[in-house]
Amino acid sequence: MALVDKPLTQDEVDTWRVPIPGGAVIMAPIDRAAQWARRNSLWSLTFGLSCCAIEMMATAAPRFDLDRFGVMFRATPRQADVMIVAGWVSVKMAPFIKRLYDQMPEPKYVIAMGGCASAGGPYRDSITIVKGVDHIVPVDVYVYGCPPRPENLINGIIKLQEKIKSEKVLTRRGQARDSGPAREPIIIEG
Amino acid sequence: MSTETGAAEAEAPELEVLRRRFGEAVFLSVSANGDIHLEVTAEQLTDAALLLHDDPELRFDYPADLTAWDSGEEFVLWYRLHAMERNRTAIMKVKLSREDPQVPSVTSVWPGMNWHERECFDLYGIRFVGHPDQHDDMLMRILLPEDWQGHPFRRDYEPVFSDDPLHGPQARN
Repeated sequence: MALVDKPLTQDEVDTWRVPIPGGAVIMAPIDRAAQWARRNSLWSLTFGLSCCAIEMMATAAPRFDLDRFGVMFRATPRQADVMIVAGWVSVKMAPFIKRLYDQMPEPKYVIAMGGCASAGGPYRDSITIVKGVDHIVPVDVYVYGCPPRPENLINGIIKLQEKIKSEKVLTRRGQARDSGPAREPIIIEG
Repeated sequence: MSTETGAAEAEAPELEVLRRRFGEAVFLSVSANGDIHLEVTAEQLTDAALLLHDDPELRFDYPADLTAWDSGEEFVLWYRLHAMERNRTAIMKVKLSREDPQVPSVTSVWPGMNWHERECFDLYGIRFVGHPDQHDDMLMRILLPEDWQGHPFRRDYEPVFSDDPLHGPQARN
């Protein structure tokens, strides 16, 4: 994917070219460079909670191939940028998800995959299920489905990439809030 | 549930061994499919377990299952045991009062009952005296979080939801 989406005019490129002896350096706005790097290397945390994880694995498998979007699964939260919460969150599991999220370095994003992670799903009345993962971590994209098809999860990832493209790198603040939807959450409806 | 027939009893020689040891103190029957049902009290449980496991004619060496049931008036523990050499099944029932449900642990006889007993404590609050994970008369929970209040499979369990999603509901009773 190109650094910028629409072709630049020669005048724009010329304004960024800094002549130095022996060559030239292209300077781009830091926002655009960082957005480009971030949205095309969304490394995801390897963990699944229930049946949505099967669809998540299918999405990562060659038929749908999440690598096309730069999404690779990393087995440690310290190398992960995005947390795909695939499945219901039980009360016993919630503190560990919170700990994993806290161990991820900024910038970090959360995708609530499926009805259970978004709002509790069919287990909303259960006393042992957290009614949506946004009670413990801020959520950027809610993906509908039970479970979502791989195309729908890819849709959520593309929506997250578009969100990253619109945010300012230097002014983006950390996720100060402990829970609740993130700033301008994206809700993919059925 | 269990029909005592002469033919089934003739196919269950284990009953003689149990009668010789316990007399009429335990309630014995044989179901239509040949399973041995016996009902013992909490005081008899350790002796019955040792006999079922160690007697050369019984040798119920495989602890298949342990579960409980809240009938409303009392708790009923079901020990489902299997004799691997002879392919026989025994079901041992223990009835407990709801006020003070307490039985001796059988983990010294069948170590595999360890997690089953923790599950029964977790969901019903039945205490197993002598369990390896016993602390201050309470067992370690196995399914629910450590700070969970109450035992949710009891019929009179009424959860009170807390605002904190990281902790479970607090029991009213």
